[in-house]
Amino acid sequence: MARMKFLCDAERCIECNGCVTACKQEHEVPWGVNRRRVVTINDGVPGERSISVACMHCSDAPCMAVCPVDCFYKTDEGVVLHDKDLCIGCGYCFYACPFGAPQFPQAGAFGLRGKMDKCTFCAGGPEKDHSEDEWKKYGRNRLAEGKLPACAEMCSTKALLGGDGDVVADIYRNRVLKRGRGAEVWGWSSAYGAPKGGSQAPAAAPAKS
Amino acid sequence: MSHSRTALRRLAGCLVGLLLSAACAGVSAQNPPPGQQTFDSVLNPNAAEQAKRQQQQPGNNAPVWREVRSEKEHYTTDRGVEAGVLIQSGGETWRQRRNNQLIPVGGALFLAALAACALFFWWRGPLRVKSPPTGRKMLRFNTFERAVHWTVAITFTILALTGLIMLFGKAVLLPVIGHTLFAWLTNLGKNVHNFVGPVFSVGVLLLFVTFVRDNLPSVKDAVWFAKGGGLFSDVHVPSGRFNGGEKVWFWIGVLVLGVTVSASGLFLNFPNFLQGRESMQWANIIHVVATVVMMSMAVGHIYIGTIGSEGALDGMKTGYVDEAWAREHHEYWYDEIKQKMPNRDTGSTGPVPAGALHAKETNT
Amino acid sequence: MHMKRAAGIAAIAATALLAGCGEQGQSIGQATTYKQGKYQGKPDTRPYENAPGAFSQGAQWNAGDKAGWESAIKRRQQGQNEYVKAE
Repeated sequence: MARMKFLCDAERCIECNGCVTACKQEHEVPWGVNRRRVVTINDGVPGERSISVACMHCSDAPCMAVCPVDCFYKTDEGVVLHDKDLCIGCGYCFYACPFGAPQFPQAGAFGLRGKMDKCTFCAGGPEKDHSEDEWKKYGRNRLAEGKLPACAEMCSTKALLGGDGDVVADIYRNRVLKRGRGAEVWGWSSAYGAPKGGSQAPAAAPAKS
Repeated sequence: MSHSRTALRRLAGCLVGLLLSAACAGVSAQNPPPGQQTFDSVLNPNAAEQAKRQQQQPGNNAPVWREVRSEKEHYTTDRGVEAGVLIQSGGETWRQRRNNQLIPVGGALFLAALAACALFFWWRGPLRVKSPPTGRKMLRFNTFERAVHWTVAITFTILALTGLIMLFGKAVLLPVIGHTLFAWLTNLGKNVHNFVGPVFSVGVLLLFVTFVRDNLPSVKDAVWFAKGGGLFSDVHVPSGRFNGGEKVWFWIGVLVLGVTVSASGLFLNFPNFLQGRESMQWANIIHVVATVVMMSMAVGHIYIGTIGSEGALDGMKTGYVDEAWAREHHEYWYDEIKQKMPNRDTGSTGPVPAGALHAKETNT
Repeated sequence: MHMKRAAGIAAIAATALLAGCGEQGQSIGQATTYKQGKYQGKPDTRPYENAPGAFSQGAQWNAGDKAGWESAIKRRQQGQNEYVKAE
């Protein structure tokens, strides 16, 4: 069984915000609600990297653990969804989430935030699949159409991968190998730096000028 | 770390430049001119490190990932609060504190307070007034004082009940009444809580101003405490208008906890000032700790003010208490009033006529 | 009079309490950690329980055909693998 996951390849993300736009368009989320966002580190200087982030559909989801009305649930595929009919808009999931995924449509004076909204991995909500209700509350249910999240599927550089974790890992591993940079993410030299002795330079060090 | 490394490198460069390893020479050859490097590393040391790292070990973005975990705000077009923070770790800490510490410990404390009162009631029963009622009434709380007290009392009860539902309801009530009904109840409770809260905050301030004069500590309180307030024995313990226990409740319960709860509550209630998550998590923890302690103390206060002590509720209900009650519970206060107005109420069998109230109220 | 009112309140309270009996199984310590392929939630239609619908762009499976849905998803996912596309 698939275990759904997102992966953002920081080497490839070009901060086009296409995923953000695709998400907004696909689900017609209201103003002020951003289920996905792109964050750029070291913006505008050498060493710049961008990462697209949304709900990460945690295995041990803090939002689920702190929700006072227990409105969250997890599907077969490990997608974290919530029931907007139960949500009271208390904001606890927003306090707990490390990724800033939960969004609220209102500013919140007197704690009036409205119902929480977040990335559904394009899997809708508890309403009947393909129904008008589901569409209005949670957006499109692409998984039930045999598709994957819109953000990942339309990513122009394929930096954002989404789907079965095993397949995502395969695609990424294959990519890393083809890039020809052995020390990409894993291994001794990534963790501890290049060996001092000089005998073992990173597998395919770039040509030195 | 990087500073000392740079210093070391500079030193090594001066002294034994020619003997340096080829690798090190290669690195310095790729780096931007010295002046620019300094500028960059001062402006954004992480970017400089990442720029260097991707030359040395292409594909190794460790400096960037360190930055991801740094909880710093980075650039993003999303204009939400803290949208530029990729990972905020405090939420998990808050979750563990709330679910594994506050809920079990707080629940135990609150239940212990209830159990203690039940036990005390079973052991001592209500504290009765020993001498027969005189029928003469003394004004204990004027209308304003009662209005302030009841404002705080009613809002507190509403806030406590709705707060208990939000904190413990998932464990206690949800399994009994089910998701749909519980979510409806909690939604109602949350909104009531958020709108009643500010009223309570104002009430707490008024309560403080109203009762602070008679709650100033005095030496007599030490005697009251030494004798256990007469709660555990039948000895008569005199006290002023408010006894030692009431003063503790006033200073700790009303002032310290009331103000803490109000401040943290208002902070959570109005997330319109771009408060970040870390401050909200702390505000929530402070709010919960303070409220649970306050609720546990309030259990004792409510107990002794209602079923625990005969005649005590009359003072808050009607404003008047029987002279016998006053003499037994607050003898110094009784003496004081009697001294000030020796003719007061003599022979009267009911409350003082309304017209006579004004002069007397100034003495309460 | 008093008894009647008390009985009425008790009846309403009892009815309210009974509402819980109609609910799905739920426990206080509801597991928050994901167990591979195990549904841990509230009633919801699984993505394979309906036919693909009008926007499926060629994905085909019969309603309830879990394996069919999975293979459709797997096939679709290769769209993200540019090395497969290039070859």
